[in-house]
Amino acid sequence: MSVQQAIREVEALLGKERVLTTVEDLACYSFDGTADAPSQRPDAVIMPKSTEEVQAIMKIASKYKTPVYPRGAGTNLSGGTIPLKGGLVVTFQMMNKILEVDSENLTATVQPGVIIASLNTAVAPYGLIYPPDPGTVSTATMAGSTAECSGGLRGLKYGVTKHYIMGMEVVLANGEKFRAGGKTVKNVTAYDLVKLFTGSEGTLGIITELIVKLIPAPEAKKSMLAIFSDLDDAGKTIAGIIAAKVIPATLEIMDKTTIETVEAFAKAGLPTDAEAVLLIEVDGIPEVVEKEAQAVVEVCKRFNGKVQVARDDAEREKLWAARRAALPALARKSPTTVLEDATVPRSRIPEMLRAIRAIAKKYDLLIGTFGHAGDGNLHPTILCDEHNQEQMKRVHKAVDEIFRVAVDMGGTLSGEHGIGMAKMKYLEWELGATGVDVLRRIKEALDPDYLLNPGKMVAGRS
Amino acid sequence: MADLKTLEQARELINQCMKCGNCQAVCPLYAETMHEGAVARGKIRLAVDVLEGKLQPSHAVLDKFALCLTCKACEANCPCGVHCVDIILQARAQLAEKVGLPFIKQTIFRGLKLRRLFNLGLKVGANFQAVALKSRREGKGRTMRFPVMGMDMRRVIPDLATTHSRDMFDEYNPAHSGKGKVRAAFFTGCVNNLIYNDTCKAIVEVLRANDVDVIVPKEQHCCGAPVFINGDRNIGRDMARHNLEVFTAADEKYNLDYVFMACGTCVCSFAEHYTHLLHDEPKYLAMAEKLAKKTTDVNPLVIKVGGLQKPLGKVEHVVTYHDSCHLARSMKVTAEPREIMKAIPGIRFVEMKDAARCCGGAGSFSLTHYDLSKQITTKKAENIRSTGATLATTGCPGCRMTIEDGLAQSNVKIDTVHPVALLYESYKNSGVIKG
Repeated sequence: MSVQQAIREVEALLGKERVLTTVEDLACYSFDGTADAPSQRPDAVIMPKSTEEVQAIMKIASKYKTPVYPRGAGTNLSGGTIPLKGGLVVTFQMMNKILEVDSENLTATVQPGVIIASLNTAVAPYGLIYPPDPGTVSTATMAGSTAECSGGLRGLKYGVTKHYIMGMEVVLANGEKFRAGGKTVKNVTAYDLVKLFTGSEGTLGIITELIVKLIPAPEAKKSMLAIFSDLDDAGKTIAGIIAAKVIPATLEIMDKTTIETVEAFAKAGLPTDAEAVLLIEVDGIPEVVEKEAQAVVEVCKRFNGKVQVARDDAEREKLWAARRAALPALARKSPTTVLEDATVPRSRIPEMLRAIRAIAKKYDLLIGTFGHAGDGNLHPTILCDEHNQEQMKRVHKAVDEIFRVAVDMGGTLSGEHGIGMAKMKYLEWELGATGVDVLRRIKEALDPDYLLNPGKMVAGRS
Repeated sequence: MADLKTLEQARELINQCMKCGNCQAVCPLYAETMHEGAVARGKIRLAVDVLEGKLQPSHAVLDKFALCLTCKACEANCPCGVHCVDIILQARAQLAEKVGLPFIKQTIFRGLKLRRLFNLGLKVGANFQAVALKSRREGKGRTMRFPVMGMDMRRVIPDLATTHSRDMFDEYNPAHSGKGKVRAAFFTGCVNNLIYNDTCKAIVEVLRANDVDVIVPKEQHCCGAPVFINGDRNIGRDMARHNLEVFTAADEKYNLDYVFMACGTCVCSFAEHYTHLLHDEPKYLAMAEKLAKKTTDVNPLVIKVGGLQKPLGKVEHVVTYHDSCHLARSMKVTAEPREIMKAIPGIRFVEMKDAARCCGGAGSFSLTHYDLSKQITTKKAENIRSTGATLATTGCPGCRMTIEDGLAQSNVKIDTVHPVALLYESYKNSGVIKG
């Protein structure tokens, strides 16, 4: 078999220790963080230590037409690293060095397997931060989160991963490599290849080095929790805060189902008769933070919100504990937790919340919704059991409808999780047939044999 | 799968895992191997595949489940509170029943089961250890002249005590005052019995100085954790029954207030595991539940009986403390040992980095996976060294043994003791105990 020949050649190059082939090991790479996704064992798991090794692996893979799946920590939520068609998983734990922190240019240069939190620890002594903070910062890798273009809780003020990727080195399907971008703030040379590969979900090339942008750490933070007995009031507050010219770092919402579940499991002290709570954090220069916090409190009160302001770190921690408990609390309630990331313009958040509620009722499902209200990115979370086929049919219909509604409101299929495998079928709704064809043409220009992460984002011509 | 009925019962625990991968951040074995199969999330997938018939039970699968320190760091970091270690232990037991443990483990565990032979063998061993083990030129401990029981030749093993701890005491050791207010039975555990008689002596004397009558039941045996943690439930249950009978008899005779241990793993056996192991035998379950309520680690016990209210003499040392996984995460004992040491005049207490990270010992894990274990221990040794401490303390003799090996391998000359041994020194220096 050609896959086995490819594996033997890779073994000859890297040694057997960095090529895992036992069924037990392969089973451990047959899945990722995605719920309700198929699992498939790869034929081998390879752990390269250098760009040259990655190039060699890609040359062998293209010689034998063997699929290759780049993988970081496998924490993504779109099935992005599941080796759907067998072949080789290439995982980057052994390329985990921070190569440089350049405090004059406010950049860091890192290998693909560096953990996001490790980078933040390394730049903290310089008074700097790398802002993207997906929920898995303590495990997710830099290249993995770049390829998935992950977001996080600070998206409203700080954006998502793509706003911080300045340059990269990429190995292509044929084993050749190139660099794009660099340390300059301004760089308008040719097509924006850095942006193209950011969020490409491992389908166009393999990122082997990254130059990322750092920013000064905010000096002060202030957190507030506002409780609303009317959903529209919460919506008006979100709009009102922005209208008051305050851009909070974080502006989170939790709906009634989420609040009830968090209370049942975590006892965070939230009133279960509330329709929604908002968690708001402003950060920056102390004087400005003070002024912005005041403005936020006024807006909340104007729209009948009951506001608690954290006076110290301990109180801040308490407010955040409730938000952090949201997903785990929902996840504990059922065997399977389908977490989506439909996103709408922020002005339509209350409308979207109501639409999700109607969909839940229509399909008789329990859906808790929480998320990043400030940037319009909601996480409708469907509580279900993947072993219950009848229920899963309803779940899939509900998911279809949620995305239909989001796109109809001028929103998008994915705020931060990516397309992966589950959302491929909706792409035309957002991009149209021509848009999807553009994706396909880009894919085929760079990877004509569909060797890189096949079955994700771009369907082959079958 | 009918024969995997009990793993099936773990299904509910398995379902709670949302595969987020947070366990990767704290798993010492993942940090070393960087393999998904080393971390809880990977093992939970293996359990699912075994349950669903996608993986046939085999020694290879059992080997994967053996790759766990049971340090519970994953559980402490799990947003969903999944009991990962319970799932892993369940899988080990199930697979061991199905395919059998490797020959070497079977042989050792059968040997452990025979209490008298086991003790006699080690007593003979203590007197003849020079034959098999050569003293190291520098420092304490020995290395092996030839491989014994699959141990790694490089390993530095502490000297076996020629007098076993339990032989140093009577069954009934009255409070020094003659007016005992509290009665507590000491389950020494193997390592304290066979190696660290200094710890046992200090503990018994400190308690006796605090109006505690200390009972040392003579017939006690290994708690069984090394056996049932590796998946041999049958021998584990035998050992549990034996210890429950011995301590229930002591309870009936002396009306015990406490059963105490100075070992993170032994204390968990009595406090947690025995009730699970014998849940289907009402007679023993009742004994286990009764004794579990009385079970405590010695550090909180010493504080509870007023051990820090006595006049405390000066002990000049810079001291750091390693949290045993089982003591810290299962028994939640972290504050008390520190409180004891900080109370002693002359001691400067310095926290080490990652104090609650596993030392790499994990009982027999260090025998079966010495290289991996050593990598983890080396980090612990470095964290100890960089505190500048003159003494390293820990509440668990298993950790102590591992740390001594790690310090020796890294050429760091720092002694190790149990925290209560420092209190004993302090008592001697203040005259509470006549030294």
